[in-house]
Amino acid sequence: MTVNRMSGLAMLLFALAMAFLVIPAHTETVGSGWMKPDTLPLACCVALAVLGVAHAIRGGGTTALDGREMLRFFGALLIVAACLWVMSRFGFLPGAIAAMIALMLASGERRPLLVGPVAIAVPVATWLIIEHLLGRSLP
Amino acid sequence: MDLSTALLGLGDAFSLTNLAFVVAGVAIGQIVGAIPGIGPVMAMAIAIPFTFVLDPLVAIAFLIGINKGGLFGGAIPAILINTPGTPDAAATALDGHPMAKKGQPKKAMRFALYSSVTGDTFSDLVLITVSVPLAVLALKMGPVEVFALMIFAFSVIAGLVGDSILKGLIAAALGLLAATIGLDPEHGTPRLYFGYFELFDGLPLIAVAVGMLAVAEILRRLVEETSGQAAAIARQDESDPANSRISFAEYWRCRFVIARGAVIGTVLGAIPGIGSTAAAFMSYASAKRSAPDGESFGTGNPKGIAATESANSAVMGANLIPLLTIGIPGSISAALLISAFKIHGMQPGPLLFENQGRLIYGLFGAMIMANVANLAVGQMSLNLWAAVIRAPASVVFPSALVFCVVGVYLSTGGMFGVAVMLLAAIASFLMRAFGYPVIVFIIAFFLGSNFERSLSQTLVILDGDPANLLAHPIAAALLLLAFVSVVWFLAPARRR
Repeated sequence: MTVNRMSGLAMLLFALAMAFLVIPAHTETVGSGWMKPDTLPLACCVALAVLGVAHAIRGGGTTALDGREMLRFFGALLIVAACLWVMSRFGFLPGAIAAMIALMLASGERRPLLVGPVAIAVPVATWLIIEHLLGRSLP
Repeated sequence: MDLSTALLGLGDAFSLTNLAFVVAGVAIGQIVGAIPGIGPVMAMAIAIPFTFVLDPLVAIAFLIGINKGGLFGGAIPAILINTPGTPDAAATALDGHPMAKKGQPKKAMRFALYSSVTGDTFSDLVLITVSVPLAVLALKMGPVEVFALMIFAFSVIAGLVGDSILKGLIAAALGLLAATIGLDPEHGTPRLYFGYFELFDGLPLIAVAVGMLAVAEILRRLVEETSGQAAAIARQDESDPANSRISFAEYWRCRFVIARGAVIGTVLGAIPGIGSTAAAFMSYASAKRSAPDGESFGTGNPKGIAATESANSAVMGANLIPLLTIGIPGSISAALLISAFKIHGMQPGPLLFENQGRLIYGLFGAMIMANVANLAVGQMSLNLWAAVIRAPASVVFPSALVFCVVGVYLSTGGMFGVAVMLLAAIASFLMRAFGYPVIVFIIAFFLGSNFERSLSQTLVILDGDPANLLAHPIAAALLLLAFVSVVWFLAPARRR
């Protein structure tokens, strides 16, 4: 079975799960009117299920699934998430500087004379402009 | 209103003070438009309080300058690093970025600039000359017609973006489903909010757009197996001047594409709620379908840039048609302008031309001036942007990511929006990996709340009976066209 057909089936399963489990549990029921709160979400699920089946049968279209790229992407995402946690706990500057250093190193940059100044200059300049010039608060 | 009032108004516009504020606005707009997540709308929101002290015409001209500058600004990162500064510029990346990778970033930016200014000027002229009859015509597009128009837009865009209409339609359905999170517009009851009260207003648009369009691409580019010490994109090929300049013949070859884009943008812009992203893709779709070299779209064809930029810029002037004539804002930026109008004592609506005709013609003059300023400032800033991309990827992408975080934090007012942005980046990465067109998702998501409102009103108007559609010939024709479009794209020969 090709990746395309599998993604069609995954879409069908997603639509069924949404329609029978998630939407009934997280949408209030209202008795009046043509459009109930769950009308459009359910209509989308029906469309997704039908299109998912059609896609599973017909296949077609290109995919770009690459395990190594996926690992690297999620690694970088993890770094960003960690730095955002630092930002929410300790403020914008520590989080942004940590993110800059980590991401510059992750991208293969190894020149300390570039990493250091840039990783400090960009967040500090942003902080000065936003907090002091425009008077808007950052984390 | 007599001619002398119009001439007096235009005369008011062409003052040195106005010119200075328009140029400043355009420059700010271009810079913030180029920063993903911030964009001209947010810049306008920040700037409005600063305009309290200004004369009404100067204040409005400054805000118009920001908005117009942002139209071109959004295209800059879309072309240079494939991360659109604004969702409107997402379609520009389709051909703009491949052209930049071929060593022609300046040429691609010039195409974007000239097409943007042409489309914008066209819609401004339409606004100045025939805004009232066009507004009356746009008002004939009731909820049933708007609903049918959205269905048609989905079918065309889903078929043209990506290589499988089934995947396109799935992406559209997912986008609509995501747009249903939050309060139901009909009854006001919360749906699918999973205990997060921040979701009562739905997923923040800007966080989803920046996460899916910019952050996903930035992270993907950051961890590419090439060294981060290389430039962010292939450098400008200076060996041949033709790689950075555009001859008149090259511009002239795109005249029909630009004209079509300007018309599409103007018509869709006059209808509140459709938006410039959909207009850009409709124009791109139309240009691709009608061009003899349609197969080369997506590989760096300048006509692709011309089609999208002329359309998304034409929306801006046209958005003001319902705003000035009947007081209905056609977009978020128009809604911000309406608040600025009110702050400065102007009441948009049918009586505006009667009561404040001189000021309105001053505004029209300022709009034309802003177009010229946009061209001049854009032309001068090309070298600056070309210098930015000479910086190594290890500097450009982490900095862009910090700007995304800041932009989304400021527009959503907290870290919740930033978390949504990261989730949207994951969704975008997975959708790309499995070949589902991200941009179709975004357009459906953007139009989702209007779609639901129009659907609800349509059901009431038609009394739930599809046969009543016959009383709405425009809507019926659009739905038929949507059906034909899907069948056409499903035909084996069209499957690319």
